[in-house]
Amino acid sequence: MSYYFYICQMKKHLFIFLFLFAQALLAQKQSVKNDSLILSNKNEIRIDVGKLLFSSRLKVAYERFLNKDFSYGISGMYFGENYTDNIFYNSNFKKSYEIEPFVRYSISKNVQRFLYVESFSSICNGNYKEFKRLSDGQYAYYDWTKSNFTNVAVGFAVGYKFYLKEHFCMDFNFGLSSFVYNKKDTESLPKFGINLGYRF
Amino acid sequence: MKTIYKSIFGFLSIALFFNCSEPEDIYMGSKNIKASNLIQIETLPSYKLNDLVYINASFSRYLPEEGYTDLLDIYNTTKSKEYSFDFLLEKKSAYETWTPINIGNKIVVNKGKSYGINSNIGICVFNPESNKYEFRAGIPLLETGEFRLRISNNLYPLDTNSSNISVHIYTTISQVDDQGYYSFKVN
Repeated sequence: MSYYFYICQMKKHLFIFLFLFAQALLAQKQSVKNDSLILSNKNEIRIDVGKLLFSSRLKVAYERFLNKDFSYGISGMYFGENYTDNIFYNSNFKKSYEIEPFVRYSISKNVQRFLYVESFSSICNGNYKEFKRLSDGQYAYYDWTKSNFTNVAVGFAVGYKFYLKEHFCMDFNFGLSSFVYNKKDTESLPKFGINLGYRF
Repeated sequence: MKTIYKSIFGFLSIALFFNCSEPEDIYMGSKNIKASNLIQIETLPSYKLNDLVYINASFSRYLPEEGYTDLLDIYNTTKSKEYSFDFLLEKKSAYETWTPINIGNKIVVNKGKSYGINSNIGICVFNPESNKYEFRAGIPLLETGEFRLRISNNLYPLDTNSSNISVHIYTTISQVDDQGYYSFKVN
């Protein structure tokens, strides 16, 4: 219960933080943006503030821009000791880490604000609890057992990104993926991202 | 500008919607098994006033499970020291009309525990010496007339918090009719 309360408090803080962040960035927005300055910076790093504040997960991404339309990158996410995700495998699933290479294509002409589509893969590792029939040598009993888990998911996402002051960006995305093998009873895995980034 | 604001709050709303459920750190597992005649009614050929109708529900912690040759240890699985079931005594008050009898604390408990107001709950308490869950109690017959006793054929573990695993037992009761009643007359 205290964990839930903690998360809700963090959500409130995130709302306030993002609102102030957007206000600050918008206030500083210049009337004429220099697209070429943004395009000249080919690298970007981002932190998913949503995950960090919602569930104490640290997700960091690096993106390399090939041109105005295409980019590729990789993100990594570390899950804290207490993180439990019930989306996966319909049981207590605890991921240790997740590595996510991705390719993006901008579907807007605007350099400062654009929608994009993303194809990504997710390699994740962790463990999950399974309800199993076991034996003590003479009699059977049921118990939860912990099993290690490594899997690969592939999927697509859509997102929206905008730049202000040429270097700073906010990036929102939503996607779905599916495990390549050992699908069990999970058909699709949703992902959400609320990122703050710096382009250089 | 409006697009940016809409985007921010749109994504936040979606993210919060999917994040607002309480974390389910406790995950419950359950199994259903069938076992014959775990509950018996100790019947008499005839009943007179002040007789007792005994219900006996004493069964081993090791029960068969369909599809397996080895016995299932329900105590090791559930860590529960008690299993419960319901029973209800009714008296015929008019044609096709049955009235529940409030047994209350008049029930004579030999093994286990019992409580209840309208329907009674029998609690089979685990005995580590016999490795059995045990319940035996007599229902006093304090009035004459036609009676029927209905006993639930489902046994549920109590207090499974230490294991988070529940084993529900569906049993048969040989003394009851197709509707689940044991009918008798008290003279």
